[in-house]
Amino acid sequence: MRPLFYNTTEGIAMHIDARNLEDNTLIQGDVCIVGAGAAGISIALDWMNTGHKVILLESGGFEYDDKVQDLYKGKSTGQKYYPLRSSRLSYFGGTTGHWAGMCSPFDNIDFIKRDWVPNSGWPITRKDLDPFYARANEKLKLGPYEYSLSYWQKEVPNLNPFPLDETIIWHKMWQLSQARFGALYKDAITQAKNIHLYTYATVVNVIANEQVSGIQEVTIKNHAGKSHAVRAKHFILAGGAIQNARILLASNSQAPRGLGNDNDIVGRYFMEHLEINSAELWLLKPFPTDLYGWGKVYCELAITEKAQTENRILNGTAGLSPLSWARHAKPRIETWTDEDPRKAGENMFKSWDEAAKEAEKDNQGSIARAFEFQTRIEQAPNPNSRITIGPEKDELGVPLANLHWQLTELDKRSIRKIYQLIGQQMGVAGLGRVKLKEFLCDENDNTHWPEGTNGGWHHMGTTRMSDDQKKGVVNSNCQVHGIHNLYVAGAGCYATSGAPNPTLTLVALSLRLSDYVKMKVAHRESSS
Amino acid sequence: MKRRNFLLVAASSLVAVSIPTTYFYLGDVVYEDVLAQPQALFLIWDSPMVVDIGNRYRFQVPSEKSKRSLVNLLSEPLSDSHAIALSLEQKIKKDFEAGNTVTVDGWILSITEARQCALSSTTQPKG
Repeated sequence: MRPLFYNTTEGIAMHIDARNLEDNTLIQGDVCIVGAGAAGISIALDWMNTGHKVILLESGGFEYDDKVQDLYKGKSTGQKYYPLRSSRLSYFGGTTGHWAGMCSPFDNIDFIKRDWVPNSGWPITRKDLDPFYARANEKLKLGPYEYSLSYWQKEVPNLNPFPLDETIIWHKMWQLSQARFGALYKDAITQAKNIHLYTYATVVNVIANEQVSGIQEVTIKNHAGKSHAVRAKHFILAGGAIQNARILLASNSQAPRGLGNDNDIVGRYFMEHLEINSAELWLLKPFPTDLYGWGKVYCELAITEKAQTENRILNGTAGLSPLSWARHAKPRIETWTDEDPRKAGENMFKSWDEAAKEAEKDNQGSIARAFEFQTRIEQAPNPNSRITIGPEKDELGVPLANLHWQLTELDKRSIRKIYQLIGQQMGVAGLGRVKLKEFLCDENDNTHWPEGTNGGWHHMGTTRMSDDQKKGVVNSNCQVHGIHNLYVAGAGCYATSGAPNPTLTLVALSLRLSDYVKMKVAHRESSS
Repeated sequence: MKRRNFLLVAASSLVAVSIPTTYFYLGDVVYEDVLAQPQALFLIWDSPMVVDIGNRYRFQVPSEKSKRSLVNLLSEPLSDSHAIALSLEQKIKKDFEAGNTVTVDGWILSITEARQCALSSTTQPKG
């Protein structure tokens, strides 16, 4: 194997297309980050100018590439899901290449063990993440780390909330990021002297030491037929919740069940955010506000911790869209069906445009004061909702990931109860009336789901966090149990999925992991 | 006032208050129009919708299927229709506060307004 050396002080561009390297090149560094999406790039940026050599491996290039995207193919069973190939992006910048940019932190209750939510509870708290949320806000080019309605009311005019009982309903705020990490951070990453970005470098195997207590190297391959090895002191998997689980399961030559999988947890507890049109709100009178629309910030109705506890339900929120539009908009699960993420996106936007045209025709009378409630809710952790690998392999020889997405009765009961609470409070306030969608009407039916059951393209939980190695893949520092230099960054580490979109939290968690690895490196340097 | 006299006065006052609102005779039940007019719902629904929801409620709650039972449940000891409407509005708010709601065809309604719809569906009220 031919070692690759760089003189990092002479300003050599630190982007290498791994297809152009001589076959069997050995790449060496201090830290190896696998995946250049929101998590991987955030960590790499955090290591800039540290004097440590960071190897950042990206499966694709700087642009969309069909052959690379093919590596994301997989089958889905259970609850209907988007094609795995088109539900994320495999190039520099990752899925931020097509995300909506919705950012809001998890709530305190999301981290707590709730006796009515099986397998809930994180080994860290919201308070532990707060400093990292603030840093994540910067990486995502958001405003200040402020997510209270009262703060944003001073910044943005006309954010009038519905006058609802705040002990039951509160207003959860989102900030909207425009950050596409590929475009935003390409220069910073490629010009950083200590960050070595390798594109077309797909990790196909992770090789541990004999005791399987530490990682020695990873094998990378590409469609040019090249295979290389990357050695580092620390390895961080940051390829997304499906890919991270897949590569751990597929690296099974030394650990038969896969790395970090002695307790058969890798891939289990796959969670999504259920995003379903669930009810209608008909206001009795017009209510002038810009709060619930898409502006500098965004707001949804949320259920308080007290009300969640009393009703033993999951954490979820309700967003409002004009009913005249929403009743014509097809569910995303029906429009995002193409294996090509670009075509899937086009189909979805086209259906939204068509709905807007239809809406113009019937936005008269009381329907002008009517809204569709779209639920955004955590999915209860469920070991049978999972990623597995099968016998079929991709072009680089890695077993394909398959998804079995499975929902629970608690998920559905929680959605119903959220709208019963909102409906009740709308009545108390004299604001309007709420109509449940048909699938929620039968209180005894908590198993059937409507055709329009969407996920948010949010993949979470497959390498869940727990300080008990029998219950989690990674510990509270995101280190894989039993493997001292292998870590997982991203939403796969979530023990529960919260209601908000995952990116802000996964970047915060990745920055916390980054600090931890820095501390270990510093400790090792000081003791040697 | 002697106890007997007091009872008579009290009873006749009650009758005086209740007669204009509701009274029964063997044939039909007569009631104030406002009992069958869920005012908030008329802001978002038309009359056929109110009647439809009312029919569904009566099917869902057979014990409240008849006009007589609905009038009994909705009756207010008030003479003025405006006062009755205000009282019903308060009752509806209290229903929501207390969780006295019912879901009819997906609509989360106060029991009182659902009964108003039901009464509306029994027949056109007398003016």
